[in-house]
Amino acid sequence: MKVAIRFLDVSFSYEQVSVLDKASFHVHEGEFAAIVGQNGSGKTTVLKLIMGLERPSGGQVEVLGGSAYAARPHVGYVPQLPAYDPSFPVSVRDVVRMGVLHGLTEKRGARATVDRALERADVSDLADRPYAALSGGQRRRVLVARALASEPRLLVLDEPTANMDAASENRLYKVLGELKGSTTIVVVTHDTGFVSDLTDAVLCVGDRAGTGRSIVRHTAEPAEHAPPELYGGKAKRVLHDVSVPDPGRCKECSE
Amino acid sequence: MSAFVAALFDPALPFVRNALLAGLLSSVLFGVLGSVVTVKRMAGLAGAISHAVLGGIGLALFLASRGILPGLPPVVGALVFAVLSAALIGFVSLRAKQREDSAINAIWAIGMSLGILFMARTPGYADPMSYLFGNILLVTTRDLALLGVLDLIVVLLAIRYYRQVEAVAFDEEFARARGVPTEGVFLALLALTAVAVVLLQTFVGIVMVIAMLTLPAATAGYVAKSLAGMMVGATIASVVVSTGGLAVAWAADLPAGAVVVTLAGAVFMAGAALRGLAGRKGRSKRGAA
Repeated sequence: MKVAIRFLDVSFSYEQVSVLDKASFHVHEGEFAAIVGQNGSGKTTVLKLIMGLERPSGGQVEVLGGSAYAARPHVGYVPQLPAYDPSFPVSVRDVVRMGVLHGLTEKRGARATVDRALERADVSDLADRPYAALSGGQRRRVLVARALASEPRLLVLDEPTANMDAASENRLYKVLGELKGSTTIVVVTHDTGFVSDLTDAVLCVGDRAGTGRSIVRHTAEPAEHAPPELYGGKAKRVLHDVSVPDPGRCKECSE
Repeated sequence: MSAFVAALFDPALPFVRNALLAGLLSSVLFGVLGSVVTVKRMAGLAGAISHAVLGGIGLALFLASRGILPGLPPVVGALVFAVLSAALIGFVSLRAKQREDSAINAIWAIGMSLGILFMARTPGYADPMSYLFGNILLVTTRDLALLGVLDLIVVLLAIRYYRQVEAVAFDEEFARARGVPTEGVFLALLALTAVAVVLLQTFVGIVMVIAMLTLPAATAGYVAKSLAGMMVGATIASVVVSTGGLAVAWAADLPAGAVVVTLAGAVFMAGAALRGLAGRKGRSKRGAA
């Protein structure tokens, strides 16, 4: 299996504060991975390293077979609901079109790509509405559409269901379920107990190793009695006491 | 109004036509650049640049009057201070870890103070009032040409990089993830704002240029559905208040810059009141249903 993301002994610190210390893990192409950890554990830093928005102070980050920076055009990013100015005049279609940007140019056929992304994220009916007029759940799906507009091979979502009602959460995971297999998906969540049943790999940030934190791969099993408000009741329970060694490669990896 | 129209066609009063042309050309910058300054929330930065410009004007007047650089026009000093303060603000905004607002306020205050100090030591009479509040009736043909060139540059850049500017203003981190050079866009906006402030201060003055870079854009923001719509709406609003303000100032013998800004403020507040009323009506209709 081809590798979509590989961290090899990655260290990172903000000035004097060490966040990651020699963290290693990998995610195969087409997999659905959950990066879990408590608030402040460094999950968002891991995302920023994957997207090339930060550089590691040590070790190596490989994304889609090259550097994280080179992979940027093929990575779709859904941030935590960013603070936005409600008086900013922008329609849903224009927000989604931002995903077609590639540096100082736009990908060709922007309009058709945007229409496709709106449809895949199930927000076509909102296309001409002002972004500020949407509910939190609708805005989140619009941001998923914006990420899909870049036609990504890797989709990265930061806390996609925070402050989202159960119905919106179900719709979002339905969209992600349809993408799974054709797109590698990485979801960051602070819920360390349960993950979506779409999840193939659970990567836990937060176990201290040396000065910073490591990333440990755990297994998950179907949770028969998951709270119904979580992922529509289709959840897996993370088994924190079972760790799977992940030095950044496995026997199924094709190099 | 008829007196203003008659003055426009009076061959003996070319400065009135120049004033109107300056108002129309400035409106493009107020509309296009002002909309970006407003949505990018750069008004404070633009305010610091515009006030620091007085330092350059004062220095140029001082150097020229002392014979150190004879004939040095104030606009050159203004331009140097504007670009320097924009560079400093850019550096502080992008690199300073803390106290960004204190540094920007310091640039604002020190620039103005230097201007007053240089003018105090300038032999003869250097009146800061015409620079602070503008004197549109002294607009030269060269000023108009420069405004025209800057209009063209700003409009062409806005058309070419519209999507990038919109993305950077809306969600900077996402724009960076899409490979948009967000710091470059920010520095380019600062530089353009600096040059624009120097040229626009002849119209409304240093103190009020920031009002015209924000009020028409904010007024257009009440109805605009896109940043492009806001730019067009703000340009139209600027044309209306500039022309109306000039006519009122001519008829009532009042300072044109102050009348234009007062009118822009009144239109903005009327817009806010109408929006508030419309919102209340909408709520009561929904309540009745």
